[in-house]
Amino acid sequence: MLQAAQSTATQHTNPQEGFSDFNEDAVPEFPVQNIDQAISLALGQEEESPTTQGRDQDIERGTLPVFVDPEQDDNAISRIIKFPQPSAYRPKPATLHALQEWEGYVTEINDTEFTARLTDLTAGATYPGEEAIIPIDEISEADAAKMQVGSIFRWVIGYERTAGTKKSVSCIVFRDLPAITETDLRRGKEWARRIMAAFDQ
Amino acid sequence: MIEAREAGNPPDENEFEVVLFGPGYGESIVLHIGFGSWVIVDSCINDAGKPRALEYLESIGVNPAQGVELIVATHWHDDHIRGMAKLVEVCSKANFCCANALRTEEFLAAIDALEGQHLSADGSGIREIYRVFNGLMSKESRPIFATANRRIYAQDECEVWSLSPSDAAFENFLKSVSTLFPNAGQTKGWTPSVSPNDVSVVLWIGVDDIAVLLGADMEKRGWVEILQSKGRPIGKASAFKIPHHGSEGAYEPDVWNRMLEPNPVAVLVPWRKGGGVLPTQCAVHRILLHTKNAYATASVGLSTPSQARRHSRVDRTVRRTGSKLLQSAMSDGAIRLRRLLGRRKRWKVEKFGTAYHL
Repeated sequence: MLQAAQSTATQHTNPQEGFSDFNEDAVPEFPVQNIDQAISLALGQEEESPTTQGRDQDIERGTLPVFVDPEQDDNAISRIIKFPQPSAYRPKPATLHALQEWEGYVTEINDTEFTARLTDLTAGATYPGEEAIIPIDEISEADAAKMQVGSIFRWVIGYERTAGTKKSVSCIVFRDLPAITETDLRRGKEWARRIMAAFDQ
Repeated sequence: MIEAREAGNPPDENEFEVVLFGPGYGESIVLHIGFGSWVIVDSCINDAGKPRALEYLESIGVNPAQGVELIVATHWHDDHIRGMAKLVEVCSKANFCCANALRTEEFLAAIDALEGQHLSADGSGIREIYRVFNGLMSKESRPIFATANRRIYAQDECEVWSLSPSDAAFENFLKSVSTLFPNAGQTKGWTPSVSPNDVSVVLWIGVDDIAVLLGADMEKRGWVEILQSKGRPIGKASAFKIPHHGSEGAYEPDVWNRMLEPNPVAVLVPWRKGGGVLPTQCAVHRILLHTKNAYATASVGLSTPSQARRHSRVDRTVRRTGSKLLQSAMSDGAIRLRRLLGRRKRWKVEKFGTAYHL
């Protein structure tokens, strides 16, 4: 059961796989006289067609394919009409190539800019060796609103390739850090008592 | 920075040595107090993350595990304490000393709540203290807690005294420590330094006939209390580590007049953060009114653009965003003072890297 659920999730998260599953040979044959009739059938208007009389009985006997409501099944029309392969129209996703990454923490904020100390992650540094003064316009309004001294962010500079174009990008993303919990505070007090006991012995 | 080839030989057994490291951001002092015994005050690191003090001692052939007898953390600002946990680990024989203000349950609980989880690549001074205390607890070593006028080390002719923090400073700290304690729901993050300069540890180190005064980041109010105190060692020091990078707020003329010999050797480490620079030109002039023997580990100037070499597209993009990238660390320098014990001679001053005579 779990396996089936996982498989379904994969199909939903990978549209490419859905297209590759499409098999022209599996399109069922059924009696339609022209394209208008086929579309009517696909759109669920078959009740009014004389050719559908007695279909329920035919379905039960297995002599006709099972029709489904196109609103419930996206592939209903494609079972009837051969559309061009949609993958040909899909734009290539943009790819980001990072040339430089820093982790920073905010040390000062004023109306127009903020100052931060930066650790050069690209160079493998573990301590901040640089300082940056960055316009507040460079960060989102949401980040600007919640930024405070001590806020931690990642700054990535690189280039983005989209459909044959290449452009430089600078992206500052503030980390959504967890809040201090009652458990943290309780643990802090326990640690403090252990330290005090060890030092007072 | 002192290159290994420049460091030369260790001091003679009867030679007092003071080395001040200022690799641009942070400071550390290494002292030879005679007969192979060493003291380390504060910690800063090199580009590889190794404490400067360890790098230096190894370069002159000293085994830190055997030679270092005392490590002092004057306070827990991150420019004074980086690499301290490593020092405590390597210098296994040394006692560790810090201000008594750290021995409060509220403060310790806040340290754990704020820094118990590693949220970023970098840590604040508070995180380093957290690591130091965990290290001490695991090796069952108790720190020495410094207060005003406490002798924290004595061996033969050498005595090390803490001149601060005073009782008043300690009480003020206790009142303010509740503001440091986090509340549930508060977002975690890098922990900004609180302002504990008043509870930093000023040291008086006397060996035979020589005394040095190490000013930590002590500010004027704390100096006034030290000057008024009757319990401090008498005498005048011939070498002075100027407090708080020579800032205006740390200047007290009576320290120069009453605690120091005329024209002492004075050393400082400059500091820079954002647009702020210490010492100011005005402060340098003031220092030079008291001594002609003043030295800094690096030139005092405005912020310099980052020197890091990287892809030209990165530099262009940074400029396009209107941001400025600056060197966090200034250029790297050290000052070494040596003087033979028992002989009324002057200090021999050596400058390394970018250190210079003010």
